[in-house]
Formats: sequence, C-alpha cells, structure tokens
Amino acid sequence: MKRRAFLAGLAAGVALAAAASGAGRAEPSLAPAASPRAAAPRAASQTPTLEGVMAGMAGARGVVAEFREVKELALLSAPLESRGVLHFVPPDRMVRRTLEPVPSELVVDGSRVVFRDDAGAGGAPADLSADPSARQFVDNVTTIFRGDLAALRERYEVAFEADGPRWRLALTPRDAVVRRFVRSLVLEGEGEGLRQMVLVERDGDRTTTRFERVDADHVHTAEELRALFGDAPGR
Amino acid sequence: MSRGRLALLVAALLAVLAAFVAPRLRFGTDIANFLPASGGGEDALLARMLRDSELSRAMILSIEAPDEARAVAAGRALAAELRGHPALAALRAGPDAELPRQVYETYFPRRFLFLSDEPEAELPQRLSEEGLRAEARRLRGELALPASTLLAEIVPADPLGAFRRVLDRLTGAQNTLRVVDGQFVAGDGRHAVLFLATKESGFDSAAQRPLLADVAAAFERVDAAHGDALVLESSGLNRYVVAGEARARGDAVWVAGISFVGVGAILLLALRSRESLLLTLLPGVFGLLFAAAVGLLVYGELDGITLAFGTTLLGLTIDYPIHLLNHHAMSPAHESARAVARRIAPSLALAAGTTMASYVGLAFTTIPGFRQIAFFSVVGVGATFAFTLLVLPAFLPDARPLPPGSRRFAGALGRAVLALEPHRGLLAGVLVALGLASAAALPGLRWQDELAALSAPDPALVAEDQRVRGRVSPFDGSRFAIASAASPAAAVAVNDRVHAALAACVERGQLEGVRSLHDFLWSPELQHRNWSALTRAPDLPGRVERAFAAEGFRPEAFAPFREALAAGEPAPLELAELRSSELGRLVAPLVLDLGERTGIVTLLRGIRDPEAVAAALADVPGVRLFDQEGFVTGIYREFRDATVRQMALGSALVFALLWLRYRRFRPALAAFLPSTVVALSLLGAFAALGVPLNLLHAMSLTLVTGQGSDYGIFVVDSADRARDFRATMLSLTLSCFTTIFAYGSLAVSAEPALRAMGLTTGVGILCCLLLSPLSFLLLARRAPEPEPESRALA
Repeated sequence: MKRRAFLAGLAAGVALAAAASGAGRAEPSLAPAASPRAAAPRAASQTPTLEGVMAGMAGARGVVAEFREVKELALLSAPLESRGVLHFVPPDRMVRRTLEPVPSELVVDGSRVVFRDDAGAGGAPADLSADPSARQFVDNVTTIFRGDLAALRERYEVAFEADGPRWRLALTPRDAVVRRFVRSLVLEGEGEGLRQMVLVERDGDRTTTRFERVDADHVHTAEELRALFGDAPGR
Repeated sequence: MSRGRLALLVAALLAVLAAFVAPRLRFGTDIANFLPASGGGEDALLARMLRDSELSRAMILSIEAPDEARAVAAGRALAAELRGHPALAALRAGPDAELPRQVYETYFPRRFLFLSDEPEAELPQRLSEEGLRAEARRLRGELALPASTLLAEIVPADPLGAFRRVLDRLTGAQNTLRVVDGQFVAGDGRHAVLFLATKESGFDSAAQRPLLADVAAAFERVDAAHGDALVLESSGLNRYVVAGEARARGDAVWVAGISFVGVGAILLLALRSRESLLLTLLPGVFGLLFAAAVGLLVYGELDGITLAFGTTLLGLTIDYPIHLLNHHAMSPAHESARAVARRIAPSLALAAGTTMASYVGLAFTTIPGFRQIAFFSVVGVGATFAFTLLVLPAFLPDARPLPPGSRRFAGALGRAVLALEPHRGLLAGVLVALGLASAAALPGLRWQDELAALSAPDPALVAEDQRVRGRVSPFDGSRFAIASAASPAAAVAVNDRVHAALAACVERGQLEGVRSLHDFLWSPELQHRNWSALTRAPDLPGRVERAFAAEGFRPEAFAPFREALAAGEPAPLELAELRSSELGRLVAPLVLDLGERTGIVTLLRGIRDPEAVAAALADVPGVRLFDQEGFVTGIYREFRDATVRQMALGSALVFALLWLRYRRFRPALAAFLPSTVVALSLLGAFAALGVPLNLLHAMSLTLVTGQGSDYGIFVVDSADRARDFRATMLSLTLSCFTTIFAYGSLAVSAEPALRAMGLTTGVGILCCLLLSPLSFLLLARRAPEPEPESRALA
C-alpha cells in the first residue's frame, strides 16, 4: 500500500496542473449561451470581489468546459499544447479528460483519485487515493470549486485584484511540499467566471490553461455521471 | 511411618507438585514442536518460517460502518485505542508520509542499476538511436500530461526512464486499498482497515489471547461510541490458534469431567468404597503431576499435545492400582498388602515396562514434540507404577473390602474362562483365521492426512478471514514460492531467477500474478550487469542529446545525465540496507531470517496450472513451492508415519521384554498375541469397511495395544493360582470398562476426530478384554489349583 506513496511528487504535479484546469469553471464572456447563468452573468458590470467570485463558484450545480493548455518547459525547445474537456460535479467530483496530443483521464470522486494515461484504451489506471499528496490535490481542487474561501486562505496566501469586471486571484502555496514544485498559481476571470489560469513552477516552467465553451451551471444527467464515474443507477 | 503421617506426606507432595505445575501449564500448542527439528533441511526451514515469520505475526482488522465517513472515524478511533499496546510491534492505519522521500533517496541514485531484468539482451536495443528516439517521443507525450511537474524535474538526469521503471514495479505491487483522511479504506468505502504486527509469534497463544481480548474490548468501546453501528472482522493466524486452544480447553473440561465422574461411578459400583476409589485414582494423579513437573524442569514448558496425549496414556495406568486392590481383596487374610504388592510386582513391572517400551520409539524421531510425549509418558508411567507398589500398600486396609457381588462376578468370570478350555483348538483357529483375514484386508487400508479430516478450523473463522483479506489484497498468503540460500545476496540472486521463471508463467497464462521482492530489489550481480551494459554503449550522453534534440528537447538540458554517468557506478542496493530503511516494512513479509540462511518469499495468485508452475521452478536450485494445506498435510503424514513406526518398534520391544521375562516362547506369545490380533483386526475392519484412517486412529491403536498387552501379562502371570486368576479377570473387566468409559467421554468432544478416537479405543479395549482369556488358553495349562479361601472370603 504505502509504496504507492512514492507518487507523492507525481501527485503534486497532478494536483497543480489539474487545479489549474479545474479552476476554470466558468468564463461567461467567452462561453456560448449554454446555460442561463452563463448567458446572463449576474452583475457582470459590477466590480467583482473575492467573496463574490467564490460565492458564485459555490452556487454552481456543475461545470463542463473545454480547455486548451500550453506548457512552456525549459526542457523543450517549443511549447507543448494539449486540449480536452473538464467536468466538475459539486461538491467533490471531477473528471479532466485530455484528448490531444496524448489521451489521458484524471478522475476525482470524493477521496478517490485515479489517473489513466491512455483513456479508454485499456491502460491500467493508477490509483492515487492512498497518496497523501493526491489527497492534498483533491482538497485543493475541491476547495476552489466549492468556493470555500476560508479553506483557500488556509492553503494559500491570497491576493485579489479587480479592474472593472475583470479580476485576478494570485495564490501562493503555504504548504512546504507544494512550494517545492509551485511558485505561484494565478487565476484570471471576468464577473463570476474564470477565463485563464497560469501555473508557474519553481524552476520557471509555466502552464497556461484557457477555458472555452463553458457551461457554468451544468446539471449532469444520470447517464453522464455513469459514463464519467461509473455510477450505479440510482446514485 | 504411620499411615496418617504418610497420608500427610503424600498430600503435601501432591500439593507441592500441583503448585509447581498448575501455573506453568498451558493448553496451546506450538507447531514448531511437531515439525522436524532444526538441521538446515527444507522442512526445518519451513518450520522456522511458519513459527517466526512476519506472516504468523500479521493481523488485519476491518471495521465496517454504514458509510465512509463513519468507517474512517471508527478506524481512527480503534487505531488510537490500540496504538501502544504492549503486544503490538506495529500498527498502521494509513500510509507513511515519509515514504516517497525514502523511495526517491533509495532508488534515484541507483536508477541505472535497475534498468532491465535482462540487460545484455534488452539494453542494446533501448540504447540504440531508434530506441532513444522512441523514449524521447514517449517522454514528450508524458510531459503533456497533468503529472508532468515531477517528470520535468527528473528527465534531465534520467532520460532513459530508469526511475520511472522502478516506480512502475513498485506500483505493480500495490494492494487495493484507498486512503481517506489518512485512513486506509477498502474499495467499497465502508470498511476501514488497520494492519497490526504482533511482537510474538501467532502461534504463541499465551501472548495472543489477551491481545485478541483487548482488541475486542477496544472495538466494543469504539462501537458504543458510534451507536453500535459497526462490525469488526479480522484476519490472522493468531485467531485460529486462540480459537483452537479455547476449543481444546472446553473439550478438556467436559471430557475430563465426564470421564472422572463416569470412571469414579464404575469403580465405586465395583468396589463399594470411597476409600478404594480414592486409592485407585491416587497413583495416576501422582504420575501425572510428577511427569508434568519433571517435564517442565527438563523442557521449560510442555506442549498442549504432550499434556493431552500423556494424560490419556496415564489413564491406562489405572490398571495398576485396580490390579493391586483386587489381588489384595482376594488374597488370604494373613497376606499383607505389601506381600501382595511384592507378589504381583513382576506383572506390574512387566506391564509398565511394556507400556514404556511401546513409547520408546517416539523418542527416536526427529520431532521434538514426539520426544516430549515419549519422555512424559515414560516418566508418568514409571511414577504411577512406583507409587502403586511403594506407597499404595501402606494405605490398603487390613480388611478386604471387595463387595460380595464383585467377588461372585470374579468367580463367574474365572469359571467362564475355564469352560472355554475344551474349545482351545477351535478358539486358536478362530484367532489365526481372524489374524489372516485382517492381514489380507490390510492392503486396502487408506490413510487420510488432510488437516480438515483431523481438525477443521471453524468455517466461520475461515470465511471471515477470506473476506478481510479479499478487501485488502488479491494474494491469500497460503501459496508461495520460497527461495533460500546461505547469504542474503545469494538468496536475492535465487529470487531473481524465481521471478524470471514465474514472470514467464504469468506471460503464458499459467499464473495470474506474483508479489515478489524483485519489485524492490535485484541481486548485486544483476545490478552490476545493468551498469556494465549501460556503460558499454559508446558515447551514450552524446547520442542521448542528439536523439532527444531530434524530438524537440533542448540538448543542453541533459547535462545532469552526462554527470551521473561520469560519477561512476553507484554502490548496489543490498537487502540489509533495504530492510533497515523505512521501506523495510514493505518487504518484511517477503524476507525471512532462517538462522544462518535467508529465505525470500514470492506470493502467488491464481495458479491456473500448478504443474507448469512447479516445472518452471524445478530448474532453480534452492527454491520450493509452498502450499499451506499441502504442507500441513505433510506434517500430519509425518506425524502418523512416526506413530505407525513407533507402534511397530514398540511391539518388537514389548515382545522382547516378554520373552526376557518368561524366557519361553509360549507365555510370551500368549501375553502378546491377543492385543496384536485386536490391533490387526481393527485395521482389517477399517480397511474392509473403507473407513479412512488418520493420525488419531494410529494413536488410538497404540493405546489399545498398550493396554491389551497388559491384560495378556496379567492373565499369564496369574494362570497358576485360581484366586489370582479370578482377581485378574475382575481387574481386567473393571479396567476395561473404566477405559471404555474414559474414552467414551470423548464423544462429547467438538472434534469429530476425537469422537472417532473414542470409538476406536473403546471397541479395541473391549476386544482386548474379550480375547484376554486366549492368553490363558494359549498357555495350554490345566485349570489353576483351588487355594484355601482367605479370611475375607470366608
């Protein structure tokens, strides 16, 4: 059992990258009119506050968003791009499905964290549930998605700025393990929605995730849940 | 010395013995006592392994709750209750946060020593231009994944993916648990799981019993705090051991109680005297206590099986005081008790001698428990005999207390035997025919050595054990391969070969999977071969930089790889270092210290083709497949074989003693033959009826022949005097029925095997009584001369 914990570092990376994408639960200004909330963002013209942004996240019934991610790594001579789809089901379920260039799937279901690097093609899943860092990742992601401001302040040093309807939330990890990999996490949005997230690693590597085609108030059907999480009927 | 003073002295002696013995007695059994003694052989190796391995000390607790949150809370609460328990060496409720660091520090510097199981065959291709570019493409793809943060840090020093392969092997050995808030939880989310390791062996019932009680009590408290909504299930060898001991203890109380009351009632009915009853039981009690005390002094402790078997054997020695009392009661009034004792002393000595001789064979086995039984039996029988001859006469009253009914019964028995005399030839013919028919049936004899036939564990315990293990790991722990060698490095080298052979079996579908130390450690020799194969590749750093640059990497990023190769070969990871690290707990169940040897276990799962798996390992020296059921069956077969050999050797010794005593063939044969024919007939009957025999049948037959030969001796020795002959027949009848009653009480045992033992012994002893007149008839003598009646008779 415990030997799985070697994946701690791995999971930390997973956590941060996924947290980045997961934070993009709504981007009203860019998204098509997929839901009433997305189509008519509440108080979009007002100056947003941190409390307001987090409250908006807390009220969501579910999110489906496409993402496009660019990784600028010192190791590579050119940036790496990937794209995929993110599903979030409050309060603590999420699937991050990468479609290109290499299919993969990260499933968070409560305390269960499973990663497949060859989604749907029979690749053996790696169960990260036993990993303390994976646990931390789950907590981080769900903290943001739940709109739990108190918990967010507990995990990060928080700096919030607003300029008109646009806002910027800069998070600096408090945890020493996370700080070994991550220098900062910056979320940018408009109104209650998130448009972009930038993860800067300690060595300068940078991951930028943009969100498109966001359904910020998606109610997942039983069929969708079954497909995403393997739910038994009736759950 | 007056009778009163002697009585006080005897009482004091018994009290001292009892005070010494009682606190030191235990009803548990140590399996190591009944396995071949140490000597380096495979059986000895496995014996020590079973006795002392981590496997025997491991325990798993599963706490079921209505939902995950409550399961987690209950698991934590129970862990808090049990943590620090003096009987526990370790308790794990969740993963160790320090483990990732330990894995990195242990393996990353040695990553290039763990590149391939077959470095000479695999590495040339992997290190070719094509292989390096394929690795670069794979890495580039992985860098696009969410898990790339750590990967990007590692790749510059490990472009070959060596550390990733190490991690892949380690993750392949994982079990099926999840972690919620630091607590292990089964896949269904409703069972919290705790892993315990006890300080003492699971076979040590004295240490395990209070621990299990404390676990149960702790759970009760946790359950009460959770509204009685929890269910505790557990897995561990100690549960079987403690349950078995409790069952044996319960049996012992019932069997001993019924036996004591029944035997007492029979004796009281025959002797009509409480004093006579007490005197009849006294030598056996003394013999038992004396043998236990001496055994404790010699061995330090006595095994439960020794006590049980020795006690049943001593039950047979009740013959001695019965014989003395009856001969005394029917002797002339002028003959003192001591004179009677002196007169029958040769018979009793021979009976005791033959009984002891029949157990001498056990002393020559390599099994410590058998030697202990032999020692206990010989000392106990000797002490009972000595007490009967030396002490008991002082307590016999001057009056001859035999009731008239018993006296008349004795006379009738004597006359009945004499009435058979004209038919001596016919009876001898019947005896011979019986013997021949039984011998002819013997080839059909079947032995059943499976443990289940002897003492099946409680099915509920087994089912619970399987449920708990199923929640934690797909490996059941009862089937594995074990590699052993004289040094840790050599054992790891053997294990390399075992892993290769078993991996091929998995590949061919003959086996579902293995859990091996190979996932953690390779032999120093294999590690060195990896380094050699790596450094033989020409200009590897330059070729890596070019191949990776062609796939979009910056070549200058791989300077750490160049530096790592230039630093030279790192020291290999050795077993001792691994075991002393924080990773040691992960490999502890797979490594055994076997004195001067080291054993390495590979757990097997889903053996689809046992013969193919065995064949695959046949070419690897120092390895053997272990199947718990087969192993235990082997132990019992050895046990049974030893008992049968001991019966044969004991019979030869008994006959030799009889011949030495009588110096003529006919009386020796007369004393020996009836019990032998009975044993033979019982075996023949079992064979003819198709009843499979087990160890306890063999032990029962030993008891039957032991007592049967005593009957023959008593008959032969009293054949010349009518009064003695009548007393002997009365003694035999009493002895027979007390024995039958004593063993009949086994019918209340919870063990089917013990019930069978009672039946075998009861029927056998009754047959010995019925055939005992043949000892007289075989002597071919005239009827004994009548003697003047004793005063009591008058």
